[in-house]
Amino acid sequence: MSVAALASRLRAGELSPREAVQHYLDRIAALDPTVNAYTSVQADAALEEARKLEGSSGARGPLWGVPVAVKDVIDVAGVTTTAASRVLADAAPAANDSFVVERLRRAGAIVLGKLNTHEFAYGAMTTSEHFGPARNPWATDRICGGSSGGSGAAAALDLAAGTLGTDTAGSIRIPACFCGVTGIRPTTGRVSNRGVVPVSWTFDTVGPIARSVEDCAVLLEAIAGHDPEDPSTADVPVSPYASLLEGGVAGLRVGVVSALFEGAIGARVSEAVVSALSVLERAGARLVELELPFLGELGTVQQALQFPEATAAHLHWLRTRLADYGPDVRARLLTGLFLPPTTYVLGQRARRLVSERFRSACEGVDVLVAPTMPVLPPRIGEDTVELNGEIVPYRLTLIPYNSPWSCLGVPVISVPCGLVDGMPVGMAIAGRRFDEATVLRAGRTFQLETDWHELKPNLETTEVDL
Amino acid sequence: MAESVPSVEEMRAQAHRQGVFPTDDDLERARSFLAVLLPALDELERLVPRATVPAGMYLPLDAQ
Repeated sequence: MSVAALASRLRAGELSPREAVQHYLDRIAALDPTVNAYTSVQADAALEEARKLEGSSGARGPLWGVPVAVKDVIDVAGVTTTAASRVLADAAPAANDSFVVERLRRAGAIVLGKLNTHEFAYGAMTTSEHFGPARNPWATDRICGGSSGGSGAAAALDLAAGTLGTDTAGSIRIPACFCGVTGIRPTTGRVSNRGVVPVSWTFDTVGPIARSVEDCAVLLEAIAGHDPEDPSTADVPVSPYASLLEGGVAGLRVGVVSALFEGAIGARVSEAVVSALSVLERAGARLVELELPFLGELGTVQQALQFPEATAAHLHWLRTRLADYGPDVRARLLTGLFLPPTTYVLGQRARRLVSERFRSACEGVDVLVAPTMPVLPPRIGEDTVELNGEIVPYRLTLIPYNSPWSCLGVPVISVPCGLVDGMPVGMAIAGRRFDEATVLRAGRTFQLETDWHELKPNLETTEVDL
Repeated sequence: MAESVPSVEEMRAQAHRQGVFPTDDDLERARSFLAVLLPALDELERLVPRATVPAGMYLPLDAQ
């Protein structure tokens, strides 16, 4: 059930918060052992929260009684934030809610639990050595993507009404794409990172992963906004996203990032996104082919900044807990120790250059469209994928499709737009900074015209009606 | 920049100076990242005009 529909039924009294929570706890008990989306479930706390809501006579927020779950790098008071790592597995419970959990609770939401992630959100597989891999609901021998893989799996299997993930270099968009759900990386600075384990301060962004654009809009509206205690957030007014979804795309100028539809992309993946573009065109959008400057270099720009920042964030634990990291994350974190001292400044100089050039190149369009990911998810235990008959490293395929939007700090949504070999494919729609409303409206229009977001994985055999 | 990929011995000494004590396997894995990243950084340095000043850590509001 969608967040909006569930909230409506709760407000109307057709369902109690406790019934809603119990419904999701039953689904988690039945389905999560197969996909491993959750690192922990706070069943008693969620039921108690629901009971308190039922007894409260105060104003009811837009998410009153709606059960949600958050990636396990986001603090929930009283619960250990593990980041799916041995390094934090025995850490003390968080003393306070993160800013985004505060906001969710203020809107009336109930937190069910914490969701699996790539260790410390520093990778795109979600195959934690400590908690085990999150499995893709569409094919349980494949990864969910990452790093917010648990959020993608939970959204796809309706193991929470909505979820939060985080995105540094694709970590919301990749699992949304691979799990056949919708996820938005908001503008960097739109949502506070207070109480979130950092990967790279320059790029980290919290955002929703849910079943539809409509659900993402409701969740984003709840968590967006300036936080005086987080210097990365911007004091820019938040639009009422959920009420701005229905304007359509007539006359919207859609820049088609041509270079990302050819070359290192599966032919049928590209065809699915081209087909999705024709849906937007039939709805009145004007397609404009764009060649963007420095597209091939943006991955390097991001790495020049991300490697030093992540290593700096982890230096204490690199000195004291090195053996407790999984080998892939350990190697990435160590790499930052050996870069030339000028690397970080080079990255910031390049970032200014590409931001200015991109702004000029995109003056004639309102949004940009590209495939979210060029390949299907690899099988668990493998770090390569098949690409047009060749076997290539998975991590190298994702960088050109995700780093551009992270580097530019723009909002970008992934919406499901097809199936290839039974696996979901996603279309990325990016917009101007702080213009999430237009990105959401374009995605919503696509979902009004198609039903890809309504498809459910075959794994879902247990239906528990509300 | 034109940095060459350091040897495992150089990396070990550099790590120790920073209070980090990785295994040789760890260093080999990190070295494989450097083998890709360092040439890409050289190319990036070549592309960025010398007069370009750094962006801030957080992009300014007008960087639309």
